[in-house]
Amino acid sequence: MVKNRLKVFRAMKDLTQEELAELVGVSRQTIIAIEKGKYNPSVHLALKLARVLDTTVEEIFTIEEEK
Amino acid sequence: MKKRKVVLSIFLSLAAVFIILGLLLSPAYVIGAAILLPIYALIIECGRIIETDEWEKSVNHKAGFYSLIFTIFLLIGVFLKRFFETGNNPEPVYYLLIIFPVVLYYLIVLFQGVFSVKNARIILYVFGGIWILFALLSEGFTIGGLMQSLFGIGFLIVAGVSYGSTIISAFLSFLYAVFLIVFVIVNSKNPENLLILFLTMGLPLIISGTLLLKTEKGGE
Repeated sequence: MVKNRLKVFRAMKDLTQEELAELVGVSRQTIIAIEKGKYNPSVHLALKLARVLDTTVEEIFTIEEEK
Repeated sequence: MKKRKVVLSIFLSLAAVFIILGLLLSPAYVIGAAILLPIYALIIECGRIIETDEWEKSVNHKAGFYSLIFTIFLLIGVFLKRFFETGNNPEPVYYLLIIFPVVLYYLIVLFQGVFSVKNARIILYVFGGIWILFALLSEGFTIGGLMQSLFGIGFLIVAGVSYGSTIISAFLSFLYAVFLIVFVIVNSKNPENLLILFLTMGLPLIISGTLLLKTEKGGE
């Protein structure tokens, strides 16, 4: 299962969902779906998010081992 | 986003017009509103008129997949209802309505795959098997049944040749498709039969031939 800290990194950059969506070229709904863990983005989008948030993909997304 | 709102407004206005016409004139107009939905879905899918991102596409695909499954169950229900009501074999159009989406779905899935030769063989084995089974179940182990099962055996031969040479197998696949289209499919009694035969005989051969050629040009 993939967990993410997108909301934390977005807050650290003081960005709204709308602003982040605009910066990476997706809709606000997509950002909401990712933050809620309902959707795992493609490698392309994950890299874009990491670049915009000045971090790495591994920092935002982590694999949580299922028990 | 503005463009999306404009397109969506146009579609919703058109749908409203069709629904009003349906209420005022004839329920047939409601079909017009229903037709708008796949058109809108196609616009989203191609992503040219409206810019769509990967999540929206994934939602669109999920909706399409579940709609397909539901539609097939619905069609099977209609088919069985017809069968139990009349006690006779339902008309070819009922078969067509079920076969068409199922065949199309699996062909698209197989065509997306990276294992072209394997997928081409799956198509040939499945459709060859279906035709042999159909011939033997409808005619039994008679001369007629065995003759009819030759159509299916042809598919298996093409699949067998692919183990030796994919290019020869692809050529045979197209040749067999042309043979069946010219001598069997076009001689169908009605358009529904023609379409069923094309979907279960001609199209699988054309698709498997294309997949085998794709492999020859550098696929897996």
